[in-house]
Amino acid sequence: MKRMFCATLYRMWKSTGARVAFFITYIAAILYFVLARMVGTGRIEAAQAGSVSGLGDAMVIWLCGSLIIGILVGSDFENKTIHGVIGFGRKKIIGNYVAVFAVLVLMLVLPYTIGSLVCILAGVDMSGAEQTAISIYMGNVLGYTDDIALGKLVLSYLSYSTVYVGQLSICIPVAVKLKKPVAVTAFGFFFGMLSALLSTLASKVEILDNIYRLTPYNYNMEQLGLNGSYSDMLLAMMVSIAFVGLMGLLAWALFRRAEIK
Amino acid sequence: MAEAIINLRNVTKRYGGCTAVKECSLTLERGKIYGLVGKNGAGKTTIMRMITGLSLPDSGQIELFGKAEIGTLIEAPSLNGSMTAKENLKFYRMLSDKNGCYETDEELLALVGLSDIKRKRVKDYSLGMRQRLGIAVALLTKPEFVMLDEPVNGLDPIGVVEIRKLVKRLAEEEGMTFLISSHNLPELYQTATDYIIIDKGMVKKEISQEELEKEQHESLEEYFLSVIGEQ
Repeated sequence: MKRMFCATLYRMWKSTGARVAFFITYIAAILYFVLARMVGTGRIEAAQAGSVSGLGDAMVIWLCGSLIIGILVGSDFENKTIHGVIGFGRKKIIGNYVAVFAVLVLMLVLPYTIGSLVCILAGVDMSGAEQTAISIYMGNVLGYTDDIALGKLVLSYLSYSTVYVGQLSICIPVAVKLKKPVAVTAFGFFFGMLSALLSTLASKVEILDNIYRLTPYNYNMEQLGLNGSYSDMLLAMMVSIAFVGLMGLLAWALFRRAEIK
Repeated sequence: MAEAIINLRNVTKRYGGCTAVKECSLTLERGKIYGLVGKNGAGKTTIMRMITGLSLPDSGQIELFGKAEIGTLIEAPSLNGSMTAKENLKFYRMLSDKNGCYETDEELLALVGLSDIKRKRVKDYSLGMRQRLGIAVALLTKPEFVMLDEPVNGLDPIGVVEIRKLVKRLAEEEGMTFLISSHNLPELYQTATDYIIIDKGMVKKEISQEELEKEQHESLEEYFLSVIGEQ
C-alpha cells in the first residue's frame, strides 16, 4: 500500500487541477491575512469585510478540498489508471484514497495555519479584523495573549485541521459513487455551506442534536479556538478521525462489488 | 501439457437479465498466445475484466497460479493525459515491485516504437501513440500474463507488424502468456498460437494453430463463422 500511496501522491502532484486548487488556496490565504489587516486598519471599508471573509478558510477549504477529492478519485476512473491499482485489492484502494485525501487536506489548510502563526509570532495587530473572522486561524490571532501555552496553540491548529479532514471526508463516498470531479466539487461546496445551517437546525431537536454531536460538523470556534478546553479539542480530533473511518467504510461498501469501467 | 498460468472454472456474469458470460471454463498455458475471437457483445471483454478484477463474477472461480503478474490494456489505454510518456511510466513503476521491470524507460519505449516523443503530454498523442504507450505500460513489469484488448487499434501498418513481432518474441523468449482480443482476424491469425471462440457468453471452441491449419477452411474468419453457425 505504501507504493500505491506514493504513486497516488505523484499523480496528484502532476495533476493540473490539483495544482490549481493548491495555488488558489495558498494565494487566498495570503490575501486573507493581508486584506483582513487592511480592514482592521480602516484601509478597506467595513462594508467590504464580507468579501474578505470569502477568502477565509471556511469558504476556500470546502471549495478546493472537495475539488481535490473529486480529482483524486474521479481522475483515477476517467483516465482508467484504476486498472493499474486494481491488483492491490478494493479495500486497499479505498484505504489509499482516505490516506492520500487526509494528507492533501492537511496540506491545504497549512497556509492558513502558517499565516496565523506568522501573525502571532510577528505580533501583527489584527484588531478590527473581527468582521472577517469566521475562522479559527484568525480567531487565534485575535485571541492570542502571551500567557497562552504553546501546547494549547499547537493543539488548536491540530484539532481544527483534523476537523476539516473529518468534515470533508463526506466527499469520499460521494466521489467513489459519482466519479466526476465537477459533481463532487459541487456537492462538497454545497454541503459545506449547508453544514453550518444544519448545525443550527439540529440544535432545536434533541435527537438530531445528539446525532450531530457525533460528527465533526458540530465543532466551532469557541470549542477549538484558544478559549476552548483541551478536552474539547481532543474530543473533536477523535470524533473527526472516527468519522473519516466511517466514510471510508461507506466508500468501500459502495466500491466493493461495483463495476469498474 | 505446458504449465497452466490461469484457470477459469464455470465463471458466469450477469448484467440485469442478460447473461454476458455463461459457465466459462478455460485454462491458459504459459508461453502461448491466445486469440480471443467473438462478435461484439460475445463476452470477450467481460472475461478479461473479470480476470483483472474490474468486474466480479457472479459465480465460478478464477485462479491465477504462482502469483503471476498481469499486464493489461483493456478497452482503452490507462494513461494520465496531463503527464508525458516518461511520467506515466514513472507512475506505474512506483506502483510495481521494482524487481522485474524493464531497466529504463528508453528501453521500454523503444520496444513499442515511441522513442522520440518522451516530453509530449499524452493528451496530445494520436490514438496509435496512446495505444503503443498503453502496450508499454502493460509490459512494464515484464508480467507473466498479458491481456490486450484490440492492441493494434489505431496503429499504422508498420506498428501492427512491430507489435506482432514483439508479442511473438516475448512469448518465445520470456515465456509470457498473451490473451489477445481482436476483430482483426487476419492479423490475429499471424500472431496467435491458439484460439478461443466465444459466442453469446459461452466458449464454443478452443483450437490450436496446428489444428486450425488442418481444418478445411480458407481463413480464420470462415472457421469462426462455421463454429458460431453463421455460415
